[in-house]
Amino acid sequence: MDKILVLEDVREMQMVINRAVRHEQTEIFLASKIGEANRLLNENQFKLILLDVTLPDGDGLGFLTSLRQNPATKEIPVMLLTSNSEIEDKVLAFSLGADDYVTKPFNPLELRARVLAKLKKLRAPKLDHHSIRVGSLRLDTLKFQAFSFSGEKETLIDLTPLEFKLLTHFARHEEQIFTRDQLINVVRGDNIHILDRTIDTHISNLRKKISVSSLAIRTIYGVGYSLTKEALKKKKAA
Amino acid sequence: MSKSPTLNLEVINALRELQTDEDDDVVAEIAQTFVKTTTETFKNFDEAQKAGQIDEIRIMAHTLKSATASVGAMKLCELITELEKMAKTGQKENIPKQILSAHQEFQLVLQELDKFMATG
Repeated sequence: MDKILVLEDVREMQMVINRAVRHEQTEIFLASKIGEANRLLNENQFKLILLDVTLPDGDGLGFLTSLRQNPATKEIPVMLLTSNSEIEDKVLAFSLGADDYVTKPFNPLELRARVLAKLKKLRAPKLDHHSIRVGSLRLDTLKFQAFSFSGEKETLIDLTPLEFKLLTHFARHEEQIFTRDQLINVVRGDNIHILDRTIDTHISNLRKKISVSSLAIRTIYGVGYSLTKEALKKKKAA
Repeated sequence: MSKSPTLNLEVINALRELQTDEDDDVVAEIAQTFVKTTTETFKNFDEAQKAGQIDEIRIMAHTLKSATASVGAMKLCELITELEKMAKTGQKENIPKQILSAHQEFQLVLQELDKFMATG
């Protein structure tokens, strides 16, 4: 469950936001005052904060500044909800560390879409230079692991070190055709001795293992192999 | 003259779309709260006006502005926004007339909400 803190003092607006943002994967905590919000922040780990700018016991922008100065809360995304639509207000909000800015009156369906999109983005694995993503495959080159993903769900693909090396090479050069000799050079070393024909066996095994993804290893007769995306995979099957 | 509708049905219909089978009537629930708190706010406007508490009027207007937006009472939202500005800039002389206009608009919002609830 993703916990969302809503700091908004107007009861009707709280009700609208609560209905808009409520979802099977979210848990909403409503606060009307900054003091209440601070207490909830001490007791919970929030994924997102929806913050009204004008509050009875203080200023929402001041509260945002304090959130950004606190190591425990500085990373929590904050979406501001305010009736001020002037560009200067927006610029100030972003300069203080707001992640998004929604002007009242808003369409509740739009707010819902924005919040769900934000949460989806937060749940997605963070990519870094140790991560390669191609089609529905993600390769972690630090842990030597390959995953097939569908939506937010990732499934580990059990590969041998040699298969992982081959797949990483293909993924880095998507759609490029490699001869057997080129592929042997890729996996050679580290006490790996490989023959011309045995590369075919490794490719065949790898092909089966990645069949759960949207990718396929294509054989180009008389030339070699390449990694292709779903469209080509389907075309070939047809 | 404002061209904003008394009730923006787009906002209310969007609220309806958020309704699930397990929920109570979401629009009725929000509308009832709105009617109750806004009626109370107009009483408080009168008292603050008599007592010359302009800053109180500004604070109440700011809160009411959000409430009107939540039910799609767009014309009332505009009148209250203007009232908030008047209170902020100390235009004391214009405030009574503005509160009166807003109160008249609130009566129209009540009628429209009744109509919507009866047919909706």
